[in-house]
Amino acid sequence: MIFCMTVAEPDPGADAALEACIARIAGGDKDALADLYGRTRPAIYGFALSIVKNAHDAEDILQDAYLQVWNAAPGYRAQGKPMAWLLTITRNLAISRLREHGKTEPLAQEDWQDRIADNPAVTHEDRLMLQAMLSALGDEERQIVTLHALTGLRHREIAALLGLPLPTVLSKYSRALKKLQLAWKEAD
Amino acid sequence: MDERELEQRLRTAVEHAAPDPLDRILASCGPQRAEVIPFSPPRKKRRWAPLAAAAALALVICGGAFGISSWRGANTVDSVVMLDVNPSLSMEVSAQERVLSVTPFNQDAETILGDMDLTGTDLDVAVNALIGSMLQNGYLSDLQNAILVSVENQDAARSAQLQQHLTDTINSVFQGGSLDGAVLSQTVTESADLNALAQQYGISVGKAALIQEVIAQDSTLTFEALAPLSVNEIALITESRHLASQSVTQTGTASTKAYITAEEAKNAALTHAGVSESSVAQMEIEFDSEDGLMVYEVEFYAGGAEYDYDINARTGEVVKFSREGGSGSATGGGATSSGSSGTYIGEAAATAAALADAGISEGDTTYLRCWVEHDDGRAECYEVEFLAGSTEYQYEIDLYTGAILQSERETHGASGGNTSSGNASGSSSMIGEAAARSAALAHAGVSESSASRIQVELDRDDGQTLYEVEFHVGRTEYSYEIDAYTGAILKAEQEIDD
Repeated sequence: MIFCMTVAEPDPGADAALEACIARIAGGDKDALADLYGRTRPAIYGFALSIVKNAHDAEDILQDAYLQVWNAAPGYRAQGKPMAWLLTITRNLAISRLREHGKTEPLAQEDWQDRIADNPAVTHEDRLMLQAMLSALGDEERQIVTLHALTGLRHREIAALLGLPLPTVLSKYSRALKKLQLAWKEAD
Repeated sequence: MDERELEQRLRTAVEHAAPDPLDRILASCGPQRAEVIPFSPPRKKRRWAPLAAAAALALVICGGAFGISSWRGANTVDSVVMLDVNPSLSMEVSAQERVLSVTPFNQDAETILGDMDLTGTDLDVAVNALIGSMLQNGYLSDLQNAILVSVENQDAARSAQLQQHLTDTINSVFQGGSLDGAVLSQTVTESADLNALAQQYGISVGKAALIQEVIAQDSTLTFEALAPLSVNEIALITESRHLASQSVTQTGTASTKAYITAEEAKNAALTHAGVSESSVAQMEIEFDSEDGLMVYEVEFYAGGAEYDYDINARTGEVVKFSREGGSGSATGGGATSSGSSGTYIGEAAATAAALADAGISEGDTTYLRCWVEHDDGRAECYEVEFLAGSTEYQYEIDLYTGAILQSERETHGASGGNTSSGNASGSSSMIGEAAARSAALAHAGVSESSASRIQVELDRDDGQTLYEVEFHVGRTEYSYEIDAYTGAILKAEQEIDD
């Protein structure tokens, strides 16, 4: 089989590796949790951020998600969909967080920039891209694009995770990318 | 910048921005508590241990000083009401029948909740809204018409009263929606055992209690098999097995409209076995579930042999059969059964079938993958995905025959079209943008003059040609998908603009 994409295409070995991590975590292995974290941190953070639109909450969710994984791993039943499981945990945490806040409040741009400005790893371009993602897209569009770009989930799996029909995911994805492109051009 | 670069850039930005709290996470990892599936936020403690109750009483007595006594009365959880259809959720309710919180247990429940914030609303209003949303979203229909209402309250009389009241309320919503529905209701008492099962399977304690009662009466059924089923399906299984429930009260009848009749299932089995009905003894037909699939289990004796069939309850297909005794024994899988992998056509053949259908040679693909797709641990089909140029192809190929079960292609192009399919028809027979716009406006009950930002776009999704129509009325965004040839409304959505 040919595999020559650098982007987050589904990697047949990745799911197995994640399941192996979860199995070890179930046995109380903290190194395995660190391993899982290393493999999935951007995806979990990005997805959380795409729901809560707030860097502070997204960081809390990132932390809570791995703690839940730690506690829930013994009950995890391997079904070949470890990423979907992680993302379901993330989504539930994010939705609880939104409920706590009452209603989605888009983060003011300044707050976002302040938060991000502290982080030396973030380049000017990164900032523009994150701003475009957070400001130009609707909630579902943002979640779909983030999932597609960061998790390696296929559209059908994204549809299942978000509880949306596949055609909706496909059309929202394509519309979102167009919007993102436009916002990026304007910002650049 | 093309779409892949755009995604790459987004990925890099998130990777850079993601904080790195690993140390804090590891430091917080205590002994594992085996909370199985974290489907819901932690629930508030409702039960007061005697000591806590005494403390609370003391608080109420001197509450004036703290100013919280009145708050407690209106905000203390008195009952928990759980609704299960397939959406599964629970509501904490005060003694004044106000909803204090709503917890969805699955994604279907998230869907029906949508943007609704039911906190603080009257229980009746909330139940009306939820049932209305389930009807609107198709979770309750002629095909799946059963709902389970579970009430939990320390006071048995109060539980029974609430149970009856909710049944009446739901029945009247059903009547309003012209649905001949079935309402199952029960009073439950939470226990650690039920809580654990509910958490593990992502269902309400009410549904867990129902399933536990059912499996206690029929040892061939398992919790695992019943948990993913809708209440309608569980009701059909219990009915067909004549399992009498002590604690569940039912009004109306669960719908069988989605399924073939028991008679048809019997005929399918007899035809497959090649025996006539007159030569059959001890025929038994029951609903059952096989890997989440509703089947009729048909058992009978003929010619000294015992036959056992699982017939797909929707299609009449033979899913599984076995024959014991008589002239030799046989077992086998039907068209949808997994059987042994020895008879699979193999990944190479599946890939070839997909490529041939797409008219693409392997050398033209930049990404190509084939695997056996499993659902609930059962092999379903080969999934073949590949990328050629800027088009992404996805195929589902039959494990045994190599037949194409499903195909999708999606083109990522900078030039505008987002999805396309090979069989584009001539545009002459399309209804046109104006007609699509009128159809959408008419469906929404909105006049053209009151709508703003009307956009109509011709689109192809999943091989279907459609018009996407979007418009705004005030802060409400309407989006429609209209079949480009028939004008049929394929999808209608409204949301409040954010």
